[in-house]
Amino acid sequence: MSWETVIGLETHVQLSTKTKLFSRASTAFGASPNTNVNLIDCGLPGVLPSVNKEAFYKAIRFGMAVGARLIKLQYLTEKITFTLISQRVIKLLKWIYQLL
Amino acid sequence: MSIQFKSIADLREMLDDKSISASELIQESLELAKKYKELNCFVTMNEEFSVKKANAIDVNKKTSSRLSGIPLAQKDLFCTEGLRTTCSSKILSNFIPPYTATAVKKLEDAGSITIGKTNMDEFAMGSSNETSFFGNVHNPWKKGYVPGGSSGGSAAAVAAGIVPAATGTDTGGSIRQPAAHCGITGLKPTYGRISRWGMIAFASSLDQAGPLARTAEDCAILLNTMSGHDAKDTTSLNSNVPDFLENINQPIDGLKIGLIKEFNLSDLDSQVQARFEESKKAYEKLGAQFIEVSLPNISASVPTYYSIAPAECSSNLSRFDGVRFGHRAESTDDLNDLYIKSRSEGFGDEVKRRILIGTYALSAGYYDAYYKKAQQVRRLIKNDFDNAFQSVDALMTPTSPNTAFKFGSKGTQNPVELYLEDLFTISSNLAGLPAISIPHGQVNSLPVGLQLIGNFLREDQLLNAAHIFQKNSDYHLAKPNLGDF
Repeated sequence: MSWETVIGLETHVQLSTKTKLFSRASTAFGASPNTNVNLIDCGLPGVLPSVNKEAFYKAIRFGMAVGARLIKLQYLTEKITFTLISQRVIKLLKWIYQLL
Repeated sequence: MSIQFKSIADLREMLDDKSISASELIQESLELAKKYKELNCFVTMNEEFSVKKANAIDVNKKTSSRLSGIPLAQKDLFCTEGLRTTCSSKILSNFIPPYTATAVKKLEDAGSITIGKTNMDEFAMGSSNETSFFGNVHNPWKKGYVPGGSSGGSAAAVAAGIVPAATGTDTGGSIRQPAAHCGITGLKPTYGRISRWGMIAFASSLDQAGPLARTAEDCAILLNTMSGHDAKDTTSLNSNVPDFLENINQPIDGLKIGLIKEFNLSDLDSQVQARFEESKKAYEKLGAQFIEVSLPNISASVPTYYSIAPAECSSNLSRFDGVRFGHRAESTDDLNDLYIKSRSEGFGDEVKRRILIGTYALSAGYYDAYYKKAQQVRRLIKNDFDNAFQSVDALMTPTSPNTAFKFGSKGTQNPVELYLEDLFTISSNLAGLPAISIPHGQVNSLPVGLQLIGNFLREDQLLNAAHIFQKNSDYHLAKPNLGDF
């Protein structure tokens, strides 16, 4: 019996964004402890994450660079933390589909 | 002249013609809160700050805003900077937030004064305010009876005339049902109309903040201030916020109101049913037309809700672990033990029940069968509403199948009994639609509520229909006899 080897890669890459993926706290390296942190990062009651637009740009650019198919993403569920991606990001995605 | 039972509009006039100062108004409101302490509406008072702010308003004499100097109460799940916010849970009984929720901040920036934080069902999970760590709230109309829930403290504080209005949140009826049981007006706006930033989440895709007040007009005043897009809540809507007072007085000639065929009202208490028929006639007199509409999937609302809401709750409440804030258990062996003991001690039974149901519904192997299936049914329910709104402007139902009940009389043996309280209110949360409850008389000396459900973003139409009803009736002016408190 012959097998075909298929290997999937899950890569965790730190993006060069100025702020974090779900908050506006800085990602600057070397800051004093507990300074690059805000209410969202602390997971305080009542806070809501906001997705970093720049991270989406980078993900889309990466997808296009490797010839991947971009799919329309409307909801982002991180542990069912219901997060509707902001209208601006959806607009951006629509604009990119038109280019493809 | 006493300020008790006065509306925002009344108080505005009194402040403007100088028959009362902001300080006197706040002082009286605080005194009423003390006088009716036994109602147990409040978890935390904000006395010192309120008095200071009122004095500052009197000194500045700037009353450009309708809300300037008006006392309000906030449901205790809105984070308030420097003021304890408990969600009526032991696990947050010592939590003092470092920031203020957007909805409250907007009200406070407009000059209103938060006199205190109101009691509620623990984490807004309940329909009778009996799951609060801080004890039951009494219905101002009858001692020993529930005020409804989960915004029970807010509803009772308004009904007792302590404050003219209060904030609430509505995940499955938590503004409308207590408003109905306490004989006041409560509005759940369209999902996303008001920012959820700083509102401690129960079920994020269903939660919506809104006002509880004595009149539809006052609800409009609060909604004007609370609404609008907030960059901190990406689910808040970007759409234009109209002035909800502008068309509130329009005649409602030709308004098409749908009656939902699938809700068999003959199963209801005959007197609740009679009230409904009476109000239908009143609306016909005011020029409305009634049309029967079918929403074939609406009977699935309660099971759908009780699959989705606990799932989202189990996720949202995972942050309460005793590590960074809130209650922490003592003498624990290791980190895992700390989590287990803090959560076991910190949460009440109903919250634990929902976390368990939700964790089960989201677990591998069951996700597709429960959570995903429920989301699909939810879409069908929303489609039913979309179809109905092709032919009508609003839908009318009773707010609750019955009036307020005695403490401990429902849901103690079988929790589902209490879940059915929300039969008429839950579907508008699933569909994200606005809905209002207005008082329309009494059954056995307890208030009954009438619900109008509107189309997406048409709070203006609901407020208009409710206001015209209130202009032509006096049910909303009825006051409880507070002699027992």
